Amino acid sequence: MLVVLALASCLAPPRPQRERLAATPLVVRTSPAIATPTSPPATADEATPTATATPEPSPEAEEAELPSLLPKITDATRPNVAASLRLIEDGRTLLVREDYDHALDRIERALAIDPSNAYGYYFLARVHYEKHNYDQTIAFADKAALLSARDDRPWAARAYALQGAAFEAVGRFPDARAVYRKAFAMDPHNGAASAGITRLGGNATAP
Amino acid sequence: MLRRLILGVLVLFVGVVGVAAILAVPYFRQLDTIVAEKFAGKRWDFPSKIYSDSCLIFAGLDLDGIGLSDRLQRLNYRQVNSGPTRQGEFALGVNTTDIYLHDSLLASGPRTGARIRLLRAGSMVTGIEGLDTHDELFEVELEPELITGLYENIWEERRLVTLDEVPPLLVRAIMAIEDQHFYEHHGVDPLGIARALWVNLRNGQTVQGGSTLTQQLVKNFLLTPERSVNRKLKEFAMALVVERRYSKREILEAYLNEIYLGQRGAQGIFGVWEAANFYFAKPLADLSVAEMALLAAVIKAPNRYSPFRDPDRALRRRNYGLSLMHKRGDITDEQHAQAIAEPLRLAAPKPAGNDAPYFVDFLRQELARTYPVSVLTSEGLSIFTTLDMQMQRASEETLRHGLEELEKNHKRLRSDKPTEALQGALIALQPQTGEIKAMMGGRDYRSTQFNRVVQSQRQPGSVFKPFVYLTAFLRTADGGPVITPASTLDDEPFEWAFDNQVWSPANYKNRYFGQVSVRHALEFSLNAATSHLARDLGIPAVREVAQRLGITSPLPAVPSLALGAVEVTPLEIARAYGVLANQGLKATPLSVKRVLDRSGTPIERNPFEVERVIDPAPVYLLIHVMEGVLDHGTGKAARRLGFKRPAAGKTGTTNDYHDAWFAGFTPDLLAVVWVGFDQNKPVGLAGGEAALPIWTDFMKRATAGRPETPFLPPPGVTLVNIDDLTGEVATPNCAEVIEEAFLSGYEPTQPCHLHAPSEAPSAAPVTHAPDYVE
Repeated sequence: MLVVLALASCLAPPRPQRERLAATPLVVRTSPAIATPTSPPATADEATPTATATPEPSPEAEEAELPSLLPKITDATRPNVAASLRLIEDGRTLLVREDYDHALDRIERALAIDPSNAYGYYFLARVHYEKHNYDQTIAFADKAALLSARDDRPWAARAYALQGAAFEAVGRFPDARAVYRKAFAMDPHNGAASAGITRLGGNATAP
Repeated sequence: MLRRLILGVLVLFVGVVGVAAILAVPYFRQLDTIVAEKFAGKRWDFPSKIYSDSCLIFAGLDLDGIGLSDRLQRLNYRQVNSGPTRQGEFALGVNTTDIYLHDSLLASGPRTGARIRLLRAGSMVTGIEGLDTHDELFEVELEPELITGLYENIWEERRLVTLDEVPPLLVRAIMAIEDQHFYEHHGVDPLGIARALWVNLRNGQTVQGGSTLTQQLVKNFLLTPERSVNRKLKEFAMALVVERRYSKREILEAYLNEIYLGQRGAQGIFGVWEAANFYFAKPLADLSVAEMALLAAVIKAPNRYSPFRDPDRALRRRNYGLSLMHKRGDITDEQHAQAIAEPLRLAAPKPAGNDAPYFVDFLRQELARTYPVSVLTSEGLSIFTTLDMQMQRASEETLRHGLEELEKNHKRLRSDKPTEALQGALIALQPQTGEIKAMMGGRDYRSTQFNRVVQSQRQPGSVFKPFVYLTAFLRTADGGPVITPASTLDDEPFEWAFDNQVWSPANYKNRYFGQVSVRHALEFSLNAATSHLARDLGIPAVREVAQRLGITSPLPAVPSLALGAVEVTPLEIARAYGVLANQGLKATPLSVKRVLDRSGTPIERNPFEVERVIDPAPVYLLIHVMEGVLDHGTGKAARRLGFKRPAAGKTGTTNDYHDAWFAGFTPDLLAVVWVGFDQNKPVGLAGGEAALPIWTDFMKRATAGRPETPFLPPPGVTLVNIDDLTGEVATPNCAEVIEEAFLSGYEPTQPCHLHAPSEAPSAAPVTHAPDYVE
């Protein structure tokens, strides 16, 4: 399940709504950097995206895709923010182990300490995504993107890309395409954004 | 002849005994069935317990601000000079606070007590470590506080223990004073009865009972409290049956859990675990010999021998028990001497009162949707709520104090009848999660249980106005007519015709200001300007936005809606303002976090959930203006009263001053205060005068010690320094410059024409919030 986290920025969505309970989240992937769907849909709204299974990513690749939050803690970090980040890092580890309930506990605790922690909302969205709770994924990823847009654009891009995957999962393809574009604007290196845009039709910078 | 007579009497006696025995068989069988059914079935009802939220301690927290010492005291922690060496102790060092946490049940499950160290700089936590492991900890959770139990008729507080969990010396102490021959008799102890009679006669008072532990168990567990010969005989018979059916070990264990040992208000203390907690705030394993003897001593008459009520009498009874233990050889000479010398060291008595009665009533209704009353009152559920006890106390004290101050300063507000007294309500939420942190539905629950937070439909007045302005900003974002905080509105009297009627909004004291900015109109709550805007937007649009925010009461599509001439509850206002504080995300108000069954297994978990109902950029514009309400508008008294954190809010006053409101929030906490009379008499004061001081007092206390957070502009918002008068980009010559928020693309670009610089500014002082490419 390490794959799950590694795919944060190259999310290939599970199949749309009808299969959402059976969806195996984020297990199908292309390259760690930019996913290339085999056959882009004719029109985005009709898209039932498919992607190609690829080998397991290396730990280094995973780290590059969804880096640890600990380096974000510096001498200048406010103590409560640092405590919150450490708890979220714990939550991230638990998420990797597919221990979603405990991950949720840690992340909710982190947000009780710092209710404006963008990373907390991102991982909250991730846990909900893994639990196929896509409405909450969309809402929390939105919040994460808003909070990180000012100071951490790559993470805002991850949040938008995660939101895009959730939109795809529920069949809201125009919304998915819109947030993939936001993700791409925040971070042109975000693979999931590029892949999502390509998969759903259009190009990254077109309105 | 004599021999025949004796023989005859003997035969008669045997016959009578035989017949009695034959007749008694069905009776004993019946008793046996009763005993078996009672023991095999559910022996006790366990009231569900309602707990507050736990208190997280983390680096960056100000311990004085959060009232750590009060919290520790309420949780039965004792300060010691060295150590701590036992659970429930804490010690203060120069820059440290060491705490030995209790074994406790948290929302996440049971936690084993451990020693932790809070590193401090003054009262600020700088780090946390495990004292035994020396691991760095990110946070420490103080256990939640018990708010109340949910019981049907009698509140029996009891936690079951096995015999192995009870110190053998405690069992011996109980046997010494209550039933010295427990292991020898068969349920009834004739010699014990005779001995008790003799001792009591000699002492001229009842100092010893003749009932065995088995009889006491039968009496409490199976029989009614009635006093009669019949019942006593039944008690004897049942004791024999119990002894025949169950082992001494089983009987003892049932007794130790059943026995009544004290009273805390309406709450009865049953069983040795609960008693150890009640009298000493200790686990059984930590009791001293003297403490065990005291527990045994109070069994006879827990109220008469209560150490809280009469310490001297309790001490004499304890020492009597210790002497019996010594005589029996249960304790050595040294133990005896030491225990006799030990003074009473009792836990701080805690009232069994309910600290949050309005919240508990609200909770009962919420829980009733999921759990039948019979389950709530007998299955021993642990219900972990969102309530913050420190905030709850602050809400109670600030509301009461605030209303008393109003009555002191305005004699006309006083009433001799409690049911007609000036009333108030306060609710506090965490906007990000919707968690209800405090709820006061009235000033005194004993006088009236009507919960004004959820049951009282009142006009919100100007508290409703922000919804009008939000509608305007949303329409701009949707490509409609451009309204920004710097746009101007007509603040003049006018008539609004609708449905063959004419409505004329009037300003406070009939003062009108002509052309005013949107910001000034809201900051100073101008009715005419707001009504002009609402007319342009259309009342249905305003109504639709209010409903999206969470107002569920009926909203008639009439012009006066813009000024809050509708009826809503404080909870609805809190829910709607929560959406604003949470940047357009609606979090459903949450009161129950988790429910565990009696074994500690989670049966309900309520993670917070949110829904995007309004785009964040227009909401930010509104928040930015509402910050101005506190900084220099109708709510500026909050700053004068010392509340300095970033905050936004709005005053509310209804026609004829019937209702006074203040609703406001920081990014992390929202509170709504209402003041008025249930009889709808006029308060005669504006929201800024009656409700704002209470809100300010509460917010100061509720946020004390917690890190401060600002409102951050989301993507799609541009901040520009503008001239306050013209609304154009400020130049170095502008005297009144304010930072204003605009939807990106709608910010002014022209330099202020009234204060044109001698040379063109090199660059407009514009701050762009991060944006994205659509």
